[in-house]
Amino acid sequence: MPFEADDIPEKSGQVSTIWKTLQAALAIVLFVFCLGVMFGAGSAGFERGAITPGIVITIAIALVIAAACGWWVMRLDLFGSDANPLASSTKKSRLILWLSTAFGVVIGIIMGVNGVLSGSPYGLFSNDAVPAGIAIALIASWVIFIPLIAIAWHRTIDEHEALANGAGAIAGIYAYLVITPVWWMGERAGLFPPQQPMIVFSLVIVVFSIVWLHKRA
Amino acid sequence: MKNRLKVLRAERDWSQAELAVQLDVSRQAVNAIETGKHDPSLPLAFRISRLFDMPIEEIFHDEG
Repeated sequence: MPFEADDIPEKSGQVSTIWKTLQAALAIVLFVFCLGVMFGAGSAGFERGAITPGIVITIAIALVIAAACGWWVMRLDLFGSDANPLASSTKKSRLILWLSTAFGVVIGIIMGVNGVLSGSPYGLFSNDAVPAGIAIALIASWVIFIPLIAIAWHRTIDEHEALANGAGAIAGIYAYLVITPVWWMGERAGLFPPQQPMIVFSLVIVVFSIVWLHKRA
Repeated sequence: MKNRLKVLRAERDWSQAELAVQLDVSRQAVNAIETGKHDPSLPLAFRISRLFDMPIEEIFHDEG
């Protein structure tokens, strides 16, 4: 059979990719929110010294929604079906992607747990103080891990992925060029709250991810 | 740039994924080339040419 089901539809592919990317972004945001709810509820129980039924129910609901978000992202199949054979370069690039994701998850867990233990349950999403030791360890991880991952990634990806990555990077730069001065000027006029670097970072990453995933499809 | 990649692939009963494995690129790259969204680099074009055992000009057509 010349054209198999795994061939990407030509006409509707672009629109469905944008829609799938937006769904993935929403699912990830909802997933992170659920993580925050779980940490917050757990922290509340820790502070009270007792786990109430309400806390258990809250954590359970957040866990179910988080799991549903994970299933939702898996179903979107943004990176193609694993049932198809994969080129060795594609396997390597996906492994690097998963390693990067795992690195981020580990950092998130460390920050979240540290937040709970220090009485700041939403520490992952705030600018609260962190112990110097943890900060130094995380800084060292970023400074060492990110460049190594980036070098390995760019040596592994094919030209199509490189172009999509480049397009996403340029879109991210332009997003930063707009968001940062706009927020800065608005803050100076009293229109906006003080600029938060991690919010700017998150917005840039979202823009980069949307363009990257759209271009690579 | 128009190309006959999809036709050549179909003649050999290869899926996009199978062709991608032989060219050591992603399936999305093969689809992007077939649909004209991406023009392959020279090294990749030569790999495609060697794979199908025909000149590049018989596979890719410059619309200009």
